[in-house]
Amino acid sequence: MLLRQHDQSMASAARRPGAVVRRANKGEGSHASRHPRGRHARKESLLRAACLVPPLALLAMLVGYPLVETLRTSVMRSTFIQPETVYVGLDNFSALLSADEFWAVVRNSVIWTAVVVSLQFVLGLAAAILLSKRFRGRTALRAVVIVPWVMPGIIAGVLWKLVYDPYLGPLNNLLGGIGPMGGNPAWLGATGTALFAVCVAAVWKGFPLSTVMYMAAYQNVPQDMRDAARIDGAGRWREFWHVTLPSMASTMRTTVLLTMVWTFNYFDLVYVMTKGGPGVSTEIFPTVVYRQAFSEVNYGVAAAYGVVSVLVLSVFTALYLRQLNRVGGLR
Amino acid sequence: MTSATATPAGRGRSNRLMSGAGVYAAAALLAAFVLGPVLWMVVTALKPRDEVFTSPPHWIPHHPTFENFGAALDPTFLRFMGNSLLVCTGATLLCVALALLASYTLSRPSGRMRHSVLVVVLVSQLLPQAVLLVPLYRSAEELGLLNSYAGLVVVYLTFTLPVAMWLLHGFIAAIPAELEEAAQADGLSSFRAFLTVIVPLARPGIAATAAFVFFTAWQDFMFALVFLTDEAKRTLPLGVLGYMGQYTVQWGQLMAASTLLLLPIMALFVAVQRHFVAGLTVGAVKG
Repeated sequence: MLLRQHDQSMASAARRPGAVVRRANKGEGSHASRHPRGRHARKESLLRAACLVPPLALLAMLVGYPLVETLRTSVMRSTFIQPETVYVGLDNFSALLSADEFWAVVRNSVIWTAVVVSLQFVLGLAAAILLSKRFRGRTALRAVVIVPWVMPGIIAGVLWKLVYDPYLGPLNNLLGGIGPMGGNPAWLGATGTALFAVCVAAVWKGFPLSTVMYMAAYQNVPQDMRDAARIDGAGRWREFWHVTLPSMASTMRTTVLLTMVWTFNYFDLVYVMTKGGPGVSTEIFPTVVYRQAFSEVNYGVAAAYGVVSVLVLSVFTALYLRQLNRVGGLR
Repeated sequence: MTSATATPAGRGRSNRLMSGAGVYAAAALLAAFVLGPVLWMVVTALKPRDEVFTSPPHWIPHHPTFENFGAALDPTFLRFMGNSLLVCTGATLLCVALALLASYTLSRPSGRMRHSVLVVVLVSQLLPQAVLLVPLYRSAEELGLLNSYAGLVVVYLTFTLPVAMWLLHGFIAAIPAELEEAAQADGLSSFRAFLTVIVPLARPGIAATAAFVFFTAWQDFMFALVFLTDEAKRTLPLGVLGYMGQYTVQWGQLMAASTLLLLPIMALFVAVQRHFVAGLTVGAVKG
């Protein structure tokens, strides 16, 4: 896929140079040669720098400022009842550490991220291998497999809420038809099952991207390496373990790290399906930040949660950047 | 597929990763998992009001009807759709223009700041939006930008601009720099060369980036939820949630509205899929 993209731009580029030269000749002619090279280069690099100013200024305003502001608010007491902000040092953080809610959020976030990311990895890889085989209907399946990923998160949430509905939903009906089920379990209403139920929906929503990535990587595995393994007498499984998987390893690392970040940050699905409930059983960092800030109007605590989640993410981000540097993505 | 070149050593074995029947069974499972919920959405949308509430549910509507679609397509829904179109188009135009400007600088290997800018761009893309949302909301409140489309368009840059800069930089860097240099040798300034030579060549990449921006803005729910308190100004995802009341859910209408919300974005996706997927995997599938 990558190759096709590249070839295409090369091909269309190769078709154009004639046109380019013609158009350029009509213009300012040999104007450029009259200027000394140094002044030209300086002017050009100034212009290049100037072009970066608007986007970077906006990012500073929209990402940099909120980040600093979150840090600042996390050491302030700032609530609806007491809008006057007071410096309280690390009080918000010590309040966090002694609250059951915080530890529930940590536990949920770990389970949520680990379960969703690992299932997306397994399912994404399995689907990619399947879709790289030849069979009738492959093209159609390749096209529809992306549907959950294209669907807005909120629609996916609403949809899965209906799937899990104890009486109207198809899930209980389906399970009831297969084996003995105790009553009609309310998957999203019970503290024991709600988190896993939301996880399944998140896997459904997100795994197609992994599939797309792994399909591209699978097709890039050099055929001669596979052939060489065969000649050496390797069976399909050994070929898979020793040739295919290692060739895909770097794509896998990148994809897993990306899905980790996205899952950790994902808000829409949980908000729509459970709002973090019942109790705090599905509360994760993004939803608790939202609730603390906008329902309980406790900006200090919300910011403290925010700082903790940024710290977690900075670890993921460091790993991601290291990985990108290794494959030369930043060069 | 791979067995085409198999040597005798490989052919005789039966330890294939997946046999013929296994492939079809796996494909059926995958299709059921992916499409099951979507089909249920459409089935529910086609059911009349009282049939939605039959328990156990009917797998196929006994009295299929389009009344839910009719009810969903009321003036409010159309207004929400108009709002979404307006905000997303605005966000796309602004974001792609800014990203193009940046890519003029970022895609050429001369700049010293290039590497650090790319790192900043990547990192800002990985930060949690929920955390950034709170200070942004409070600033917007002070500046009187709540409930304004312009405010929402600007705030959408928070998550669209870094991705757009990253994608466009990749697309434009793939175009040989010699073309720009050739045009410069013919007397164009480097910026003119960029605009008249590189940008037209990068059109597919620009289209894919624009589609991606439109697509993420169209999906946004969290920023709209916080920034738009005025019901008339709601975007489509927020409006759709309105069908979920506190106690009763109008499932038929909700599912019909969801289907209608999904259709334009599916159409857009199908149109740009090839470039889009290639663009996304450019960074990831390497080495």
